[in-house]
This record gives sequence, structure tokens and C-alpha cells, in this order.
Amino acid sequence: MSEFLPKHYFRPETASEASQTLARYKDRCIVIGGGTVIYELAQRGLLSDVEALVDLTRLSLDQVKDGERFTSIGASVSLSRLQGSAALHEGRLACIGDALREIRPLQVKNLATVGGAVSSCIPFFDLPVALASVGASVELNGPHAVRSVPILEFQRDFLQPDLREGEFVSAVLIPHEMASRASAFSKFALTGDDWATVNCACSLEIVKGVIREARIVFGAVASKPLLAERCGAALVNRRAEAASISKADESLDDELGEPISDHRASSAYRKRVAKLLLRTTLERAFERRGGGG
Amino acid sequence: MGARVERVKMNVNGIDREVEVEPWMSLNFVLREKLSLTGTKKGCDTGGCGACTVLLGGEAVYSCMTYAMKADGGRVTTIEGLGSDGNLDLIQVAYAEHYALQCGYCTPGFIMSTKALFDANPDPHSSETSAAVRATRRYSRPRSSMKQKKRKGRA
Repeated sequence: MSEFLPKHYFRPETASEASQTLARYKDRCIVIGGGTVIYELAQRGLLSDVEALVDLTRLSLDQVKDGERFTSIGASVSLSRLQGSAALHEGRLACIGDALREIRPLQVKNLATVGGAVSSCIPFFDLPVALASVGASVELNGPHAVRSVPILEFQRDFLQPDLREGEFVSAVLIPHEMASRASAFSKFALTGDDWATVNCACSLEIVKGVIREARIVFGAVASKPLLAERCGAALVNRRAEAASISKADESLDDELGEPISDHRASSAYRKRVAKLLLRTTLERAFERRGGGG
Repeated sequence: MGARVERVKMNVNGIDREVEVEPWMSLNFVLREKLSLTGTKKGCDTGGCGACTVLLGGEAVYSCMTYAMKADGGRVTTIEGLGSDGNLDLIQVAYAEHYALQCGYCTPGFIMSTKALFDANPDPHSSETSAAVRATRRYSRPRSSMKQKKRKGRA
């Protein structure tokens, strides 16, 4: 295994300085949030070409703020801090609260950041799946402009974020209208601390007991989170009750295709688990809204 | 070209320290090899066992997967920083009285996790005490030590 021996540790004072550093080192540098993913990747010998770490701590990206249209979660907000944030109080964005409770151990959660969880593009992570279910976008700060990209587009593939030269993740944006949706997240893992074998998140717009829109996302079944569009569409105009779930279930086999097969589970096993998680997750979301809307 | 060395300042167990750090160094390495605080152990080195747990800014972290640079300007508490005036901390007393040391190697990690838990919440739920020591079915004695700490902490 190649050793991970970066030569530089940069702590830029401004976004512009951060972009310049990233542009100068290109693939030979990596942004460090809490460092827990970097540690994991380094242990696996995947970062031997990295010469520089770029720490964004001094850019004040550690706030959760309510803007005009979005709740903005700064890239440096730790997962523990997000879990305690007012943005998740009183049942708001419940699927994100669920996902954060499922992330263990606490020692990692105290270090790991939202920016790291998103930009690492590891398909077994929990937070990106929950964020995708509430239509989150990733705010990218570049040398010339700031742009935002839906998280499902940003995560192009395994370890492949949509980052242009000099860009870094500065925040995750969640549209305000998502906060009041009935949502839930469920996870199946082999041990209490393991990454997901399969996870699932949903957010539902329910009006007078009837589902008007449903976003259902699965993780750990493909190289990036999978939006099960037909599964969600099958729930539209149906009552938010257990009897409707079988409709969503019908298209799931086809929509999941052939899930990944690895040391955690075979493809067929993941498919069976995904089916169970779909039911659990929807039921939990229905309960939260009491099916009444 | 060798790695650029940075001077990092951290308060460790109440004492301001300044150490020369290279970017790859973990907090665990700095504590053990540069500051000779060997109470903090290196266990699995894969973020899995918890033996290396210390407090950074009052929060429990794995020192093996915390880059030392992340601790610059921070407050670190290790097992050597518990207790005062030659007396053990209540948590250490409870662990000793319940013979909850296991083989002793990862005990500092157990104790520091317990410390973070009780600092944040003096009256934790049993599920939280279980989570703090991980793999809890096998660790009934650390859990009973926490119950004692909970009782005495209230007194």
C-alpha cells in the first residue's frame, strides 16, 4: 500500500485564496473537512498522489442559516452540530435527523462535516441519501462564480464529485418548502457502526391525506444515490396509508436494476432489503403525518 | 522535498503546548510520540475500536483519525488530564470499583468516552451509556461503572 504523506497543509483565509490553491495543485490536493473520510481513503492507499490538504476552517462555513428560499448548511458544520441544530427541531426535515442518528460512532460524528459527507461521493453514506430526498443542492464556490447543483447531479459516480478546477463545496442548500414535508430515513447495516448495506429516504407532500409528490431515494445499491422516480410517481394521488405502498413496490424491482454486490451483501440480498426498507420508510413518514396531511 | 513543518499550539490537559507537526501526523501520534502522553492508546487505527478516544474542545474524537493540524488552537483532554491533586476522577473510581478495566489497553478510551458523555449530560439514558462504550453487550462492567458515576455525580 502506498503511504499517504502530504507535504503541505493549507488554511486559506478567503474563498478566493482557497480556490487559487485548489487550482494550483489540481488533483494533487484535497479539501479536508473533519478528515475522517481522508483517513479512510488514505488507509486504503487511495491518496498516495495527494501532496496538499486544504482546510477550510477559516472560511466561516460552520453555520446553519435560514435564507430567503433555502436553509443553508455550511460545509464545515459537523454532523453532531447539524443534529443539534434548530433547522431540525420540531420534526422539521425528519429524514435528516433520522440519518444523523444512524451515523455512528459519536467520535466520528463530532469530527465529520457536511461538506465531507457530500463531496466524498461514497455511495454507502447516509446523509447524501436523506439530502437527496428533500431536493438538496450543493453550493460550489469557484474562482470566478458560485453555482449550485442538485446533489444527485453533483455526485456523478463513486468518488466522483462534479467539481471544476478551483471549486469547493461551501454549503448544502435545502428549499424551505421541504421542511414541512413528511419524511423519513431507514438503514440496514451489518453492525451498529457499519456503513449502510442499503438505506432509503423519502419525502412526501401530503395534502388532506393524499400524496401530491413523493421523492424516494436509495443508497448503497448503485455507485451513487438512486432516485426511484417511478416508485415515487406510483404514490401520487394515493392516500398516505399502508395500502398504497404496494403500488410503489411494483416498480421497485425494475427500477433498482442490478444493485451492487460486495462483501456486505449480494445484489439479490440488497434488492430484498430495499423492498423492506421502502415499506419501513414510507410507514414512518405516514405516521409522522398521521396520514392526514 | 520533505514535508513542510508547521508549529501547532494546543492546550493539553490545561497546559499550553507548542509542537512541530507535519501534515500527515495524527493527534494520536503527536500526543504519544511528541508529548509522551502514552495513556492514550493506538488500537485498530481504522476508526473502529475507540481505544484512542480523547476530548477535543470537550467532544470525544478518535485521536488516530484526527489530523494533528485540526487540533491547532484547540483544547485537548487525555486520560492523564482527569482527576486532580492526586485523586482519581469519579469515573476512574467507578471503573476501578466495578473492575471494569477489561485487559486495560482500551480502558482510557472507555473512560474518555464516558467523560464526554457525562460532561454533555449528567443523567444519560441507558442507550447513551451503551453507545458510549460500543459493542456494549460484551461490556456490562463499564456500563455498571457508569451507573455508579451517575449516582455519585448527583450527590
